[in-house]
Amino acid sequence: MNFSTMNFLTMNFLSMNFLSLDLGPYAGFIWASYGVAASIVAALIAWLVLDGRRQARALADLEARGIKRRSA
Amino acid sequence: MRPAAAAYHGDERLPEAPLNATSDAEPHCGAAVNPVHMNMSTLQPTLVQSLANPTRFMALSAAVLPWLAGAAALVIIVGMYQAFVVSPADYQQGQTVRIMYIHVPSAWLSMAAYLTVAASSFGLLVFRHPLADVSARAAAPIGAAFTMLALITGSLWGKPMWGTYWVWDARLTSMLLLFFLYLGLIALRASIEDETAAAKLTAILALVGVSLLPVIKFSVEWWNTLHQPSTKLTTTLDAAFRVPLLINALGFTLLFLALHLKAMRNEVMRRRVKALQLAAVRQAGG
Repeated sequence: MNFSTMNFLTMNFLSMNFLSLDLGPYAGFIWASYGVAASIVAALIAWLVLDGRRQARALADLEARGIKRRSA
Repeated sequence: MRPAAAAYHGDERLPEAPLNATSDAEPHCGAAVNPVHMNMSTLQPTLVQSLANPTRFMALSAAVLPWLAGAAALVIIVGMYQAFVVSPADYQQGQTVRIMYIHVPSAWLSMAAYLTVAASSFGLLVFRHPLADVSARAAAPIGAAFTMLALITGSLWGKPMWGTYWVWDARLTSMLLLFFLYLGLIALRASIEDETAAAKLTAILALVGVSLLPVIKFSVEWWNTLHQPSTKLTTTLDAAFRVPLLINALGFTLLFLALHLKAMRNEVMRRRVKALQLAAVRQAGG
């Protein structure tokens, strides 16, 4: 890959030209696919992050109360 | 004498602790110790058992997770660039070929996630690894999400290419069954209050369900389906499409690993919370 090609690809990416790609008559199906994928992944990440925070908070609360798993 | 628990339920002492150190633990709050996996001459844990120790897992995963998530994000960004900028349109499918870059990795991961569930279930039932059930439980909803994604993107790809969102052909139907199987695993576990029994029953169902994977894989060869044959990376796919596909597949795989690790960490914490809550009740009761 020569410099001019790299330069073209970099400028194309930075200017987000790819977002104005002509995706033809089925563009709606393509964008819908990527939209659904982004939504599902975002929902998964949000669920895991929020659940992790909830568990960490509950754990910290119980430990702050001096609860131990065993009496020894 | 306390029987060896089949799953990790919040006590991270073992396998570092001596075998007889669990006598004061709650019946369902001990980590699994299977003597078969101990070096009987020294009673030292094996390497796998050491890595399966929940405390060590939490420390290791905390260090690995940010790098894994960062790598996944980076590779997926590169993959999206490849999908929308570098990849050409297909001579037959036109621009809709770009759906392949999320549909195929999702479909691969739906099966890879199920293999993770099944392998973890095997680890629980046979080797009684402390984190096996944690892994199986954590992977199921993520696998269900990727299966749903494969079904939806496949449907959105099918409409412009086949003229319909859905047909009851072997590949689509078997993928739908995989989605239902995931839901069944999640529902079965949620419906049984005893976590040890729930873990074992879910693991048995997961292992039975493995029989669906070859049906999905070979459905396009065994039956006459509308779905195209399996993608042969080196023979049926030109390099112009292969490279973006492989980059996206790598990105999705890293994403799955990061999500699975995070879900496992949450599950370990959830079990610790439950163990502490039981301890609090015990202390309150004198």
